[in-house]
Amino acid sequence: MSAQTRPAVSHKERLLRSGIRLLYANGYHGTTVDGLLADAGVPKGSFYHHFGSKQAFGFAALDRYDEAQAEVLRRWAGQEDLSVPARLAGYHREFIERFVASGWQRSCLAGKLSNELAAGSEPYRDRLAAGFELWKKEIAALLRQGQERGEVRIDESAESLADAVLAMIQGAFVAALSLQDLDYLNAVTRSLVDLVVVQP
Amino acid sequence: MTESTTTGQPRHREALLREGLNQLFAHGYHGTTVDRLLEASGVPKGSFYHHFHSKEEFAAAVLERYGGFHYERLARWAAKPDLSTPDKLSGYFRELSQIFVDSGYLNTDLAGKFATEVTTTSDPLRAQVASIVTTWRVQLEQILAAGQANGDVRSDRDVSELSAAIHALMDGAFVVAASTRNRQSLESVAMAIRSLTIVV
Repeated sequence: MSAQTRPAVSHKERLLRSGIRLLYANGYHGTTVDGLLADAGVPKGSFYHHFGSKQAFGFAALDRYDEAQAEVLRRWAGQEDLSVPARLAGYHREFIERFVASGWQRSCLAGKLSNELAAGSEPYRDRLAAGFELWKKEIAALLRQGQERGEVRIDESAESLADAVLAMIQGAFVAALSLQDLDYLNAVTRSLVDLVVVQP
Repeated sequence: MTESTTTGQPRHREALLREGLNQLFAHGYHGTTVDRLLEASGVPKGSFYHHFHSKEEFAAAVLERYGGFHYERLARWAAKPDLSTPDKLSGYFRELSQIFVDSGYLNTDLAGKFATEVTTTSDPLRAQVASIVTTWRVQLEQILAAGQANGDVRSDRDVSELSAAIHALMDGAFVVAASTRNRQSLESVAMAIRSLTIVV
């Protein structure tokens, strides 16, 4: 489709959509500004107008990813008719469904970029760390609510459990990229519940 | 000395594999170049191509050796006579965490690092990563099964479910901590490994 027939999507939006797809497929170093422009069908001037640099663009892509991710977590966290462990399981299952539907390609963008960039780039390390800390904080808030409701164990702090929950979420997607094994992912969902649930 | 005996030296292969591990941790697969590897290891280019036909083949050999380190370390913890199975597994993870922290948060899980960087673009490396994870899990499942038999690992969960969860916890812990450098989060994961496996 030519650019003229889809005026509703702005250049900025097209760059973000193409960019996230390319980052998943080729990683940060494998994604070039020229390749992005060609994929999005957007002129170079527009890229620099909206983002200024490849790094700023990567941060914007991460912002977009984090928002989408946080929206899913908030939606599940708000389902007060479910127990907190059930909400966590539902959240994780939705993540899995999206990942499998992407042909086992789109795992977690933050985890992917952490693996690629944390060792070599301080700005990215700081940006990713802030994203993970916020994510953990939201999981911990949900777990604390579960502790108050008597559904989540209280012998460990909500923060400590949240560290483990976030690690399991991240690790499951990393493993699934190579294993492509749905049983593995389902086992992790069940173990998330086992880990946090209050013992009878 | 003829060219072929020089380039075929086993110590060159060894030096390349050793330096390859450092380079891959620091720069990732795409950021690791054969030239930089040769410079850092002091090995001539002809020797590299004598031992490995391509960078991909070289990376697969580094991964295989890396897997071997893990199998040995896990076997060493499993053989400790005075620890319960959950304590062996959390001890194993604490040792890996210490190596990771001491390396300045660089020596993460190489299989996980490769999983996010190259499994969507290289079938041989994806297969190699999957093979390492699977071999490691089989070994872990034997340890868990022995623990179930002697009564110190919960038996209401299949060992394959437990191995998936423990693998995800460990891999994800490194993905997150590579950016956050939060040592406490690693301890939270050690706690979680223990509490997922103990008899409840």
